[in-house]
Amino acid sequence: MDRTENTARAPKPAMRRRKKVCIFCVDKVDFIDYKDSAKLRKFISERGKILPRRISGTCAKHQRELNTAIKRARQVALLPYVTD
Amino acid sequence: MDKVINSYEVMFIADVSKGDEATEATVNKFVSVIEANAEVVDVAKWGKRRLAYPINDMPEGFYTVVTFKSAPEFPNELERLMNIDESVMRSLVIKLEYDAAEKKAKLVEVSEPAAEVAVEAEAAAEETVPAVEE
Repeated sequence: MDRTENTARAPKPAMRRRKKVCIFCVDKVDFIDYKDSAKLRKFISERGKILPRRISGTCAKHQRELNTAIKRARQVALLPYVTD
Repeated sequence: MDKVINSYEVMFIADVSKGDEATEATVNKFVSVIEANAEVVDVAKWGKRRLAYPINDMPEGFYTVVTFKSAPEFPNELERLMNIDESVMRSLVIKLEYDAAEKKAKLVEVSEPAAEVAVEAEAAAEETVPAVEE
């Protein structure tokens, strides 16, 4: 299965209701690393808040893991708690 | 009953305000503490990095990540020692859900065959070049 690019607009019949596919599922990620701050940064807003699933498109399982990863990264000052 | 051995990872930020030597001493001190009490899988010194927010009014710190395998009692003790030491600005110990040593072995395995494939691909490319010219 090769669906790396353009999943957002791909006309897949089964996926019609949801536009986005969880990128962690696509990459078959089994552990979201809190040390990878560059990747985690994509999932926080400009103010430093964690993006909701409805915006980031991640699945429930990976959103939970993402939450812990972001919170861990915040503890060790890899990510900010707030940015003004 | 078998002794329980888990994989853990500790990340700690050492104070850099007292000079490079003091920082290094702190890092080495804790690495040797871990070595004495656990089986160290990997030590990664990230070096001096900017913090996302100031800790104790300091804008930067020295990051070190140590992956180790030990009995479940040791991480608590390590956390306690790091909280006592004032030259450690922040520390985070997490339990890894996977076997750290196995994962590292796998990573090495994956990267080596990949290199071989690349060499083979190159050789194959060289072979095809004359064919194209004909």
